[in-house]
Formats: sequence, C-alpha cells, structure tokens
Amino acid sequence: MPIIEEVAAISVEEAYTTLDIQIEKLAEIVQENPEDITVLLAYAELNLRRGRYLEALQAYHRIMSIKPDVIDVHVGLSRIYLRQNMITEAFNEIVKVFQLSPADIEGRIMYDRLMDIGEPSAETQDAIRDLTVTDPEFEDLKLFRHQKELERERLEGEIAQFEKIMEEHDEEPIYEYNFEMALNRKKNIDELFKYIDSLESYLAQKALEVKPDIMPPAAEEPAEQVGEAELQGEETSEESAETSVVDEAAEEAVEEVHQVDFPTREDQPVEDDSTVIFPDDAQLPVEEEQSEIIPGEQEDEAPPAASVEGGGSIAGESEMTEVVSEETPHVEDSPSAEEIAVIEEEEVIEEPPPPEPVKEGPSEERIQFYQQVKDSITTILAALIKTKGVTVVMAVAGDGYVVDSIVNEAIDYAQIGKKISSGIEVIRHWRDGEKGRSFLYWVLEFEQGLVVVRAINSEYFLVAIAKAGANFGAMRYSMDKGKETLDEILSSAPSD
Amino acid sequence: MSDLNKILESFCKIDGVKGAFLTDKDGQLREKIIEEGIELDLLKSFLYNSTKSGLDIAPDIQKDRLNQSYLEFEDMSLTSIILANDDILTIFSSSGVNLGRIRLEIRKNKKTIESLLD
Repeated sequence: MPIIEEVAAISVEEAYTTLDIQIEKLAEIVQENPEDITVLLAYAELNLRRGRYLEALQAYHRIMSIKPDVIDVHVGLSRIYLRQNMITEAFNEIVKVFQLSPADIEGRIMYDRLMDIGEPSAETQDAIRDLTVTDPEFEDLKLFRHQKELERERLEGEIAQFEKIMEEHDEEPIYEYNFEMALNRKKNIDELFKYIDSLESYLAQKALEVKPDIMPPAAEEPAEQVGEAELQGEETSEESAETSVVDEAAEEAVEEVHQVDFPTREDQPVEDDSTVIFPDDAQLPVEEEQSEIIPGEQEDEAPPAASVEGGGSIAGESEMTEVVSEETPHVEDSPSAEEIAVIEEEEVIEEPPPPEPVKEGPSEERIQFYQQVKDSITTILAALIKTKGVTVVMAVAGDGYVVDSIVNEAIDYAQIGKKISSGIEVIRHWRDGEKGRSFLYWVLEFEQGLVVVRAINSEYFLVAIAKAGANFGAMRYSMDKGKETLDEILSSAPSD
Repeated sequence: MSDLNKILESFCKIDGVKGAFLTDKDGQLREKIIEEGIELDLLKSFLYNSTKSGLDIAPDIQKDRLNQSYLEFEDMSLTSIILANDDILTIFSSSGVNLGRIRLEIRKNKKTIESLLD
C-alpha cells in the first residue's frame, strides 16, 4: 500500500532523530499539506507512539474526513480507544477494519486483545456476527512478521542505547524509567511473535484440515489413473480437469469465509495499555524520550501536553455517547430548574480562608537544618529537573519557605513558593488531615506551561514548573520517586 | 432535563465519576449532577478558592491563562476546566479513575457546553 510504504520511509529516514523532532517536522509538513493523507497518517502514527492520543485522534479524524476507508486509521483509533479503556468504541473500529479488509492481521490481533479485556456491547456483537472475516494469507503474515522483526531490532538498539546512557547518568530516574519502558515494549514485541507463531500454526493446521475434504486420498485413487504420461510430467485432459477442480476447491477453502474464529488467545501479546493520565493523556508508566534515543518504533510513549482545540467533529462521538449511556452509574436525579434556582439562591460561597498571616519564616534552628540537608535535597531536585520541559523545581515548606530549589527560568521563585503554599493551605483547609484523604497532587495547566505540586508529607511539598508540552507522566514518575527520600530527610526537621 | 444537565450526566457515566457540576466565576452553582453524600457547599467553596489560587500564580510564572486544574487526594480527584466565559466545569471522581478518559470527554463536550452557556 503506497501510504504505508511512504510512512515507513519517513520512519526509517528519521530513525536517528528523536521522536519529538519527527513529530515537530511532520507537524510543519501537516501545516503545509493539511490534506495529504500520507503525511497525516504518519503524523497520527508518531503521535500515537508518543502517547499523544488526542493529537493522533484529531489527525485520524481528519484523514477520515478526506478518505474514510483507510484501514490504518481504524486500527489506530482502536488502539487509542483501547488505551482509554473504551472497549466498545475500540471494537467498533475493528469492525470497520474487517469490513474494509476481512483478512487484516492488525485487526485480528486487536480483536483478540479486546476480547481478552471485555465483551463488546450487544450491538457490536451483532456487527461482529455479521462480519465476514477471512484468514490472512501466509505471505501477508510473513510480511507482517518481517515488519515486526525490524521493529524488534530497532527496539533492541534503543535498549542498548539506554544501557549506555544509564551507565553515564547513574541514578537518574528518567533514564531508568525510559529503560524500563523500552524493555516493556520489547517484551510486548516478543509476545507478539508468539501470537504470530500461533497464527501461523493455525493457518497450517487449517490448510491440513481442508485438504482431505477437497482432495481424494491418494490411497483411494485407482492406480490406473496414474499413467505413464503423468509420471513423465504430461497431463491428460482428465487429470487436468481434476487438478483444476482441486485448485478451485483449495482456493475456496483458503478464501473460506467464516465467523471470527481466531486461534487460541493464550499467546496473545500484552501491550502496555495502562491508564491514561492527566494532563496529557499520558500513561503511567509513561515514557519520555531523550534526544539521544532512536525513537523510530517506540510505542506507548508519553506525550507532551498540547491542546486539541477546534479539532473538528469527531466521527463516532455519537457512538461513544450511546455506549456510555449503557453504563449504569448511581447518579441522583437531576434537580429541576426551580430547584437549581433555589439552590443557587441559598448557596453562599464560603469566604476564602483569611490571608496567610505574615510569617516570620522558619526558626534559626530549622534554617540550619535545611543547610545541613541541602546537598541531599539538591541531588533529588537535580534528577527531577532533568525531566524534559521542567525549568523549576523546589522543595517548599508549608509556611512558603523555599527549602531548596533549582531554577532555570527568570522567575521569583520565593514569591511563587509563598503563593503555592497559600494554595496548599486552601486545599488542606478543605479536607486534609483525615486518614485516607490526604492531598497528593495539585496540577495547574496554563496556556504556556504546567505547575505540578506533589505533597511530600503534611508539612512539605515538591513543586515543578514546566514549559507547555512537558510530560506530566514523566514528571509524576520522577516526583513520586524523589518523594520518599525527601520525606525521610525533611521529617527530621526540628519543629518551630 | 436541560441539555447542559444531559452533558453533565454523561460525564457521570464514566466509571469512577461521582459528579459533575458547573460553577460561575464567582463560585455560584449553575448546574450539577452529583451523588448524594457529597458536601457540595464545601466543595464549591474549595474550588472557588483553589482556582483563585491558581489564577494568582499565573502572572508569577509567566504562563498566561489557567486552563485546567487537577487535584488528587488519596480517595478522590477533581478535574476542573475553565470555560470560555470563565465558568468552571468540574468532574468529581474517585481515586484511580481514568483521567485520560475524563479529559477526552471534557474536550469533546467543551464547545457544546460553552455554546449552551452563551
């Protein structure tokens, strides 16, 4: 397929750059060629690998508005929906895949994966029942295997690079994290090969089962039918006719249309379709690519945040709403307009807590303690600031005092520490202090960036400020990792 | 049921979501679909004040407009989005909810909600 070939060409050509650079380049090309399906498809695929699902979704829908029958679009959409745990929607996309290509291998893999996760809705089951799905050709499966072998090779290269990077950057969580993610993807690919093996066995078995029905057993053939001419490679007209019948029957058997009847799913690949996380629809664990890394075949990488505004209509939304409505959550009856009016009149907004009293700051003893532990804290902050896009990291006390910070941006961090501390005060004023209800994260997504606040303990918190496009999943991973040690260090602080 | 309420109700059909509500920029409730037992007054007040804190930080970090906030506690989370007219749509959910799904639904419905609020 020309589109796939071109996409593959792009991937190979840019295999030595970062995935981000690839995406950026493609974004520029998309701007210049907004109707070019090849470019859009490549852009969607790379965003999908990067974990930027909304961007991928938007690109796929744009392709559908131009050309509704691109199989890869529906496979891609199915993968996005699967990651969002929208199983019915994912099934619906696979139905479309099979409608377009009854022998699609990716579709078959996705179908099996989905079946392992959950049952399709009754409506989707009906659609699946009506489907005609044929087995893939051996040749197609061979090609698919080859593509995956290339993918595995690239992943192995990536893992080797990570190992080298980790040797040079010991104890930096982001590299460790990326390394783990690469290993995870490699494991998934290995599992996929088991599936391919299983599919191959199934096809071979099926071919064997079909032959006895369509070809008369050799033992039953009258010996006289095997004449001398045949032994010499010549065909009699009768034999020729027989061969023709056999070929036709074999062809029919190969193209036998059957219900979805896939081989055993015990060897089904497991993809790291973990839950998507705010604000980037990233997953935990999510991946953040490093500039040194070959990203060519990465899957499930973490996304930078980017808004998808004006994305146009999303085909299938009505379906999603419909499916969602099948669920039965416990929701109280909605109030009438009158009730709402009464509620609005009655409800009085509680005044904000009184402004923070001007604090004199920490005691000398405490400041001395902070100085003593500064090196240990700086080490943790140094690891955190290496997370891509992060420009400021701070350990802040509940009174707003910045215990330690690394600041790569011209901002008044002391002032920010105080303001965030006031915000935390509001949060804790509301519901903190009760067991099992502790505050964990406060994330503020601005037009141009992100502020992530992570509670260290009841008295301290960790703050990271990042540029737009930073990966919350990676930030969260690093912050969670540093939190325990920071807690250990700061819990020894003398009380004022 | 109003169209707005229908949209709010659709949020509540996501696994783990316990309520969705709209408040105006002064913190007054406009629409709500929320499970019983949730202290809405406190929640509303908290949202108003925490959003105010977020807005207050924006000039200092030079990141322009606050678009969205997310709060996670051990047992629940709150995802709020500031709409074009400065109203705030908030989704109240239990811990472990699929936040990506919530965000997706918010993005899908944002423009419709904004048009209904005009």
